[in-house]
Amino acid sequence: MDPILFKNMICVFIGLLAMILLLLPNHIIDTTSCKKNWVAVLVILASGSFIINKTLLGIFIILVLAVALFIHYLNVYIERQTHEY
Amino acid sequence: MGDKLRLIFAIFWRAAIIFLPMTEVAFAALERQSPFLSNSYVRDFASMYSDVILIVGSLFLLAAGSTIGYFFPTPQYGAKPLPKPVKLLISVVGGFLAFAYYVHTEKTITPAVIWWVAAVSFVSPAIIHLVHAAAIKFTGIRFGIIQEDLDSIKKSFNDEKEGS
Repeated sequence: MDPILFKNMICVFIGLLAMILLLLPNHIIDTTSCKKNWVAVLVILASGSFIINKTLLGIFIILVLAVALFIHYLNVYIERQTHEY
Repeated sequence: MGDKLRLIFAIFWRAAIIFLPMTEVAFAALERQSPFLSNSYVRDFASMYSDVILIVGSLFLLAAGSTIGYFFPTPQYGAKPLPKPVKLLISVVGGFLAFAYYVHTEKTITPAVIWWVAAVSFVSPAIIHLVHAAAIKFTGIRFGIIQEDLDSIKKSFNDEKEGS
């Protein structure tokens, strides 16, 4: 690993950002729920796997995260639609 | 507080014994009149023992990640939070497994392994807790168990403990 590489700097920055956001008190950013903790855990794991050049593993984790977020917001959208009518 | 300081001191000198052979190398270098801690000596050390330095660095970050994961608040969700010593143990196990995975797949040791070990040892207790909580929730949905039932089950366990 060359620490000056742009990819590695971005990965370390994103991982540290996720850790710091988790450590903040809950009235600033609410991480009490299960779903938000999963987001942080998967982001840290993806940054780690990008750093050790396991790009496919990182892309897989990010895809899982994206699909889960998509399902979550689809669920929210459908619930809002059904409440309106 | 004094007990904790004493514990930290005890752990420190036990860890220092592990690194005693390295001081022999330093004393041998002093006896040979080669300037210890000179530029050339440090460069030779860094080039010859780079893997050892990286392993020591990843051990250090393993300890740091485990400590952060230990004092980290568990998510207030679902199951009862894990006991703290178990969290520490899970962190250390996760870090070592990550290190073994990296060495097995890459066959070399590069500085990347330090951050990888730290990230996995930080994350692993949260993963175990969240998987546990999710498993409880899914089985609850499947068998029609609600939160009140779970509370009564927990209470019954506590009663058994007090009774025995």
